[in-house]
Amino acid sequence: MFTKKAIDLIIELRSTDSIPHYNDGSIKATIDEIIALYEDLIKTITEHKEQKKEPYYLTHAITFHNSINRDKRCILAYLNERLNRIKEFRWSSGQSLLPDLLKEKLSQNEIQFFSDYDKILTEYNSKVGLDLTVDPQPPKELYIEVRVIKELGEVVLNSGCTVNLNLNTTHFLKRSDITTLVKNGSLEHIL
Amino acid sequence: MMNDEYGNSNNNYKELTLLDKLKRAWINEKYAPNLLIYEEDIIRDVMEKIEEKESLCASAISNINLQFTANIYEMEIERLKYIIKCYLVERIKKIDKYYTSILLQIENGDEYDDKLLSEFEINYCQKYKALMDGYFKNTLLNSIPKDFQKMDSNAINKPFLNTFVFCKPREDLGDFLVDDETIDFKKSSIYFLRYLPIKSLVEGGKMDLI
Repeated sequence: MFTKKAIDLIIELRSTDSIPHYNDGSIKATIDEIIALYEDLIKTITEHKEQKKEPYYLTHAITFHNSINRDKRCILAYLNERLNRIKEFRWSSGQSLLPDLLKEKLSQNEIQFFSDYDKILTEYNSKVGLDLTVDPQPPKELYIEVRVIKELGEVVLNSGCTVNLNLNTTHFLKRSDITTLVKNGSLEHIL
Repeated sequence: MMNDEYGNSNNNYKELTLLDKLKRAWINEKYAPNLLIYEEDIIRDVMEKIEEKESLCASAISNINLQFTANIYEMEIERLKYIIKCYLVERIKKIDKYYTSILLQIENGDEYDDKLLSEFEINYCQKYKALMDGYFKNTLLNSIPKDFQKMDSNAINKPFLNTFVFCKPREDLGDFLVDDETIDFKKSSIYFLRYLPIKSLVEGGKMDLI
């Protein structure tokens, strides 16, 4: 059956909320199918120019044409949904670097996309003067208590003061100074 | 709640309305399915106020007597920044989703559409579109036969305007024809309607979404 591989791509993506491995094999196979279908389609049209209005050839052409479009649509949907999930990662983590675990699941183009997207977003953020990706919670208090879960040593905060963030110590610090550290998992907010 | 924190400020009235405007812009943007016009004046005014108060706080923080007040101000600044962030994020998410149709709207639109995006957002939107187009070309479109390389025109994401929204008129608007039914919009009432018929009222600032 035509477009089988393309539909499998969509099903594969829909079965999970995370980012699965980039299915290069299926995409290549689908592109090959598109090219094969296209050649067949052109052949049918050119060889039977006079009879092309006849239902037999007409249905043939339409079926091939629609199959190509469906293949294309499925691949685009697959790629687009993956990009959405990659962007979601950029927004929820606030990081501009991909962790290795995720990196090996992405294609070369997607890694390139991530760094380009990061560039655009960072540029926009610096122009409006606010980092839109950090701090998704409404601020309740100015200072919060945090515990250090990754050894950081001496750190200079945005507000200018220096603190010693040693492992397993707790600190009472300004929220806006340390939200990035909380987000990347170096500090833990004690409730 | 917010009113109390501004209690002792001299230009009490002005700040209050500015904050209300900001909140209104954010909530409208949050619940409207399409991208609304960029509230340049409000954002600029609020940013100016924030900068002014930030420098005030910076000078007050060294004085032990003013520290408590300064902390309250800082808290308030954090809150304002949070609202602005939410507003801008809401807009960026919509731009990410509908970038092609937004750029088309600006290209073919009138004066109203020119103000749809802020200067930075236009920059972002164009770069984003270039990035997306380039990506799809590299991964798929360049590898398939020429006749099929163009993007389908119906593959453009458009906001779904027929969704239902809660809305509240800013003033008494009188009778309006909505879906073959005349509705008398009254200031104190809340309505649950399809978005499309009231789109122009929301964009014209006569109706707020809630």
